[in-house]
Amino acid sequence: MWVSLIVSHLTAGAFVLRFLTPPRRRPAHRAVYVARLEDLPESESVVVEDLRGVPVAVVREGTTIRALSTVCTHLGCRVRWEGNKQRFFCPCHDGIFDREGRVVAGPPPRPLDRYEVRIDKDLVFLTMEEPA
Amino acid sequence: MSAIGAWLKTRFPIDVDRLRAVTDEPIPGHLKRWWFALGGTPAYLFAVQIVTGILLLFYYVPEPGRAYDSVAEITSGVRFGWWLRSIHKWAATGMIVAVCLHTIRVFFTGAYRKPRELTWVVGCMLLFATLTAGLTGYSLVYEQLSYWGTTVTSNLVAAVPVLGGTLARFLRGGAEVGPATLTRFFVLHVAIVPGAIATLAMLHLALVRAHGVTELEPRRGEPRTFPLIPDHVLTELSIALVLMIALNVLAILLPAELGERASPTATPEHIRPEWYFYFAFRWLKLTSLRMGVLGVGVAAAIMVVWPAIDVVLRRLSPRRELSVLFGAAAVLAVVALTLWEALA
Repeated sequence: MWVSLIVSHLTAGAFVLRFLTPPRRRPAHRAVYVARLEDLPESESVVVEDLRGVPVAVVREGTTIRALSTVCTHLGCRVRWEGNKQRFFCPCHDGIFDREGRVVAGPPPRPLDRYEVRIDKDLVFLTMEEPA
Repeated sequence: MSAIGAWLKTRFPIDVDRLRAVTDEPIPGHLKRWWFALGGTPAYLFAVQIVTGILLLFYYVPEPGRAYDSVAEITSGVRFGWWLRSIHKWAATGMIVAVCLHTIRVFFTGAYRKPRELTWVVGCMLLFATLTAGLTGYSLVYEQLSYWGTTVTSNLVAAVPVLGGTLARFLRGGAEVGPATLTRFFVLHVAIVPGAIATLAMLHLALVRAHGVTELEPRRGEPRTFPLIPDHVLTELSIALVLMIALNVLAILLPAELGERASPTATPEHIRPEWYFYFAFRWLKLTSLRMGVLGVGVAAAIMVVWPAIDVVLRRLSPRRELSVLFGAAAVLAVVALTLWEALA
């Protein structure tokens, strides 16, 4: 009796844990048009939103386009572009990233995440994660 | 005995004299001093929060699109809503202060030593649960501080080695902070954490009663013991009266405010958690993420198992109170980090 009582309650506990923890899903991605090449000013950061509403900083240098996530890699706050200092700054824990998204100072463990950029003729596409 | 009394005695066959004998233990004389009676203070403030929290639930809507507006309505629309919200907020702040002071007092008087180690462990759990109640509470307001506090907390949990990812998905209700997160923090704040605090508090009290209160040498003119009923009960009631006056004064002079509405697209330029998390906030600025998480976790674990560490320290150096030195260093570090963040 003791064994069946323990086993049945442990099984119920396992079901409850599964109920409370949403499953890990591999996110789907797709390329999304964000701007015309000529609409992106040289060396300026233009902010667009990805499919989950997260701002993405898009920077053009010549024909090179860089799309950086504004989610701080430390604890997920949004970094802001400080044009006068040419850096991204996170107000939560003072993380600082350079214009390429590399960590300059503070606690962030890795550079800002990058979005894959594709230019088709003069149209700029970013590969974005579909919302869950 | 009146007819009603006789009717009641038949339905509730409890021997009042025996009950009185069980509950009316002699209380050591030093408990006349209020800082030794700090255990009852958080209990009273917890009761205030349960009552005001239930009342706030009549108007609060735990849904991302409506939570902020419902708090705004409570604060400036509903009659006496500002007062109830402010009392709830100040009672939470007071409870955190009281639990911290109680913990410090217990530590520096060595009241966690054998046979009261488990009382200390349960007390530590109560401190952590109280801080969790504060954290989940301000996440419900759905102002900027709430949203970003929730984001930082869930990412901190995600950084915990091994189980962090699963725990973070449980907290968020998905891969990232979203509508499900508010529901989960709401359930934690109104059901799970208060339930845990009530259960732990009862266990704590049962252990305190089982072992009795640690006895200190009474001061001159102080009785060696005094009765629980009515003396100690009256002391606790006097403290409750002072607390109620203090809560009302604070609610009137410094009512709970409402910040900017939560915006998931932009973290405000100046953001800070509530003051009782300043030390952790500053610590996270100073260290790498791994070190930050491990530091907080290891510090909490050391605190819980301190009675065992104290035994080793006393064996190593029987004449010196090394625990007091370490405790003072820990308190100073927390105060220094808090002040550093406050003045930055």
